[in-house]
Amino acid sequence: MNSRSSRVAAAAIAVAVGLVVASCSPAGSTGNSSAEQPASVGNSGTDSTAAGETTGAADSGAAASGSATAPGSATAAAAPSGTFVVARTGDVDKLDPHLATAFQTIETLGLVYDSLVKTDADGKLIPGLATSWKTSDGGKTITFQLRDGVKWQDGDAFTSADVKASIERILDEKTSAVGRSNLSLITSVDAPDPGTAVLHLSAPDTAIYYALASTNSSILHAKDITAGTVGKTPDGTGPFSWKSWQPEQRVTLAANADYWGGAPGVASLEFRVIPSESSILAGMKAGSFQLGVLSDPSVAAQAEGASNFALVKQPVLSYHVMQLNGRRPPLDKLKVRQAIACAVDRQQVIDTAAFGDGQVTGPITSPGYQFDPTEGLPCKPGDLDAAKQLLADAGEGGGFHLKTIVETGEYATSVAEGQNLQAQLAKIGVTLDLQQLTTSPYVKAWLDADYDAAVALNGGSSDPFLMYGRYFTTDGSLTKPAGLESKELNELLVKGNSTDDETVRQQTYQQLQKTLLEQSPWVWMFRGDDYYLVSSKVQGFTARADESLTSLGSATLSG
Amino acid sequence: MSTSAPPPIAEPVESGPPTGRRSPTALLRRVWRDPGGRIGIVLMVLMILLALLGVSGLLPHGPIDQAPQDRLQGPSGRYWFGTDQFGRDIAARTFAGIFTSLRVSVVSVLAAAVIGTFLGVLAGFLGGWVDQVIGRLIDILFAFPAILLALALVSALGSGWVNTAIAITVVYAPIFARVARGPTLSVAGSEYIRAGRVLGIPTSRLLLRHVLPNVAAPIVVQVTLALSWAILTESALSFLGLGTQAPDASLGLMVSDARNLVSTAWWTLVFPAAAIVLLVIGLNLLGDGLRSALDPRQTSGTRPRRQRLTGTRGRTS
Repeated sequence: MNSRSSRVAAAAIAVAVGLVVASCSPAGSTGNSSAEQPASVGNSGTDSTAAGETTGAADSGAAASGSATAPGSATAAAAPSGTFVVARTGDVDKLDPHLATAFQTIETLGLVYDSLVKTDADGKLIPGLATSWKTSDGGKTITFQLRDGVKWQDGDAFTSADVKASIERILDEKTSAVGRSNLSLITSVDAPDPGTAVLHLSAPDTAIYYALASTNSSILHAKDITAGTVGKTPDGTGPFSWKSWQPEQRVTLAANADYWGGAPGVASLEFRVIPSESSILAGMKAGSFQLGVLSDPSVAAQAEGASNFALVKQPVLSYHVMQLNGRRPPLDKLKVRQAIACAVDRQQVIDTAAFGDGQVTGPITSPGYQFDPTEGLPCKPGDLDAAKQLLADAGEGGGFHLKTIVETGEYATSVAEGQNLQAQLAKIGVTLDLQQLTTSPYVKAWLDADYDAAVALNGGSSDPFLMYGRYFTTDGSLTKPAGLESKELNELLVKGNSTDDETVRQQTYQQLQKTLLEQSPWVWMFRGDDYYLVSSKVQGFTARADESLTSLGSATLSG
Repeated sequence: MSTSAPPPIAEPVESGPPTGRRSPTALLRRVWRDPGGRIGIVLMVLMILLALLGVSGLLPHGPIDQAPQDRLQGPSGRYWFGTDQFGRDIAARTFAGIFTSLRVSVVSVLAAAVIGTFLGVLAGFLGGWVDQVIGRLIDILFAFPAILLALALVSALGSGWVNTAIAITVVYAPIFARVARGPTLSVAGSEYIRAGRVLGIPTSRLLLRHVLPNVAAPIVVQVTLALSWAILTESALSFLGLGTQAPDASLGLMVSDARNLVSTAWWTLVFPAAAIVLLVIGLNLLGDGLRSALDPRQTSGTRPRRQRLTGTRGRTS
């Protein structure tokens, strides 16, 4: 009797172990979903560094004519103290801001390095290392006045030579900089005196300011570039200076007391790598971290109502989309694409796959360019009869199969979105054959457009041209996964980017959004949320749509 | 990580002298007399009925039908086991998942039993270099942790239930070879086999008619135990995203999907997990009952003290 019951017990235990292991396992172990996504294949348009509290500047807002005002009305807090611990699922992967694609790397290096200009929480340009800038020569020359008294981590003074060396490094093909294509209109950089840098462009380029605001366009120390030490020990001008890195464990930063925007409110900042989002949640409950960064809505749902921290939901610029490959039949027919776009009830995808956390969006997610998310579609989303009619008109009423790639792993909701889309589109006779791929084969298939449809999470930007120029202009870097070439889209993008007249830009980009929806190269679904668990001891943290942690430069701890 | 404990090697059943054929019904009756065996039979009959119900299409909701307006509802008269995040019926998915698990395990274990037994009997009967080659081959396969080998195979072959079954077959065939080889060795040396040789009976006939029936008992027991481990392996692979693919129902996949929902919607986890537990317990009890029923030393009602014999080793992973 004995041995039998022990066998049964063993089996039961084995199952129990399986279930416990289950609760802390794979998909949950990856975080910031969009990090390694197609988003980052081009340029995630994530903006850069600190000092959200510069005031007075940039009330003129618009791109081309930033005005200069003294910075640093920073809350001159008491002597900074304490260690601020941030828990997130991934580690930094490299230390060179020009090569960074992972969100964790961009978040971290964005606090160590500065860029010429920055964006505020609303996506408006504000001064960074440049205090003012003006255009001349019909928009083809940009002159930056640089900030005085900025010091590198090693004590050297920041000058225009650093700007020239940094931009030339990005433009050098050998660097393989992530942001090179966004700065490709720059023909040369001059440094007439230490406080002035001049960019010469081959054509007017409005998006260039947003490209320069990216962490991928960080200004490096010219000395480090010459010595070849970039990427070994970060040496920046940001609110924090680099202290140490234990890969897959933690990154430690120290406050930069000389920061031009005012010294940070904490003495040091530590990023811990906690692979499982559930463990981050548990650590927050135990009070081990001051800030937890999550991306999985089902984990975030368990964080509601805690007493010692708050759950902050921040809509992000990245967007969830089903990309269609318009180069393959039957998707090459406009009406077929429109039928699919019509059939998808976006809200249902949000409710099922993202547990209701998300906002239906059109193509353009930039806060400065918000338009009706469905204007241009020939019908109301979710209208199955209209969709069926469109299919019948296109001669595809009998239905067809689409090979659809979804990602397992980093992008937590992709498979769920795929399953809901599959169920929805089945109603109009379109069968999605889901193919689940892990991150790297997925990105490869995506880049090669080896699919009929792809459920993707693509990076957004404050500037519509930076979002779609790479897909829908004739010389874009991602025209393959765009799946559609359109002269009209190309013209609209080029037109919007070559003017600095805000009214014209609004009209042009509204037309762009409308045309994108009408052509339906993709089915735009929704913007998700990022989730921040913020300890009640933290003051001054602001989540941002561009997923930057800039506000840590001014956050303080109490108690 | 691994959900796998050492796969089982049945406690060897004495392969005694030829005992004559037992009819399957007689065997079942003997298992039924054992209280544990009885529970095992009942559980397995129940599970098989549920599995058939799951694929019969007779249920009010299909396993992949989504009803978004009813998502994440608790168990009710309409949805017996509640619904998941898509408004799919957990009951329908659990039953279909039991079918998926049973299908993969039965196919893979039968294949493993046939291949493994063939190799084991051959090795034990022929001896010499054949034994050496087969023995080393088995050693190589045993050197891999079971779940790791299955994972590697599925990654290489691609997911889907047939590939999962192939992977489980490869992992479990060596166990059957080991189990079959030992008794074959003792049978091969017995008087009646020698007599058969002297009479000029061809080797193939000797193997089929005289050796195989006499080594069958431990293999039958091994099959039921391997089935329960195959169910765990299939669940583990699906849990890791390498077995059955969404939206198809599979117990491991359902547990995986439910991980983060357990605090808000316990029913998404409890029912598929319970199905795995019941399947495994049922098969283990059945295996235990079979073993005592097949034990030649067994006299009805009492069982001899069993001891774990050495000679086969478990695998750890």
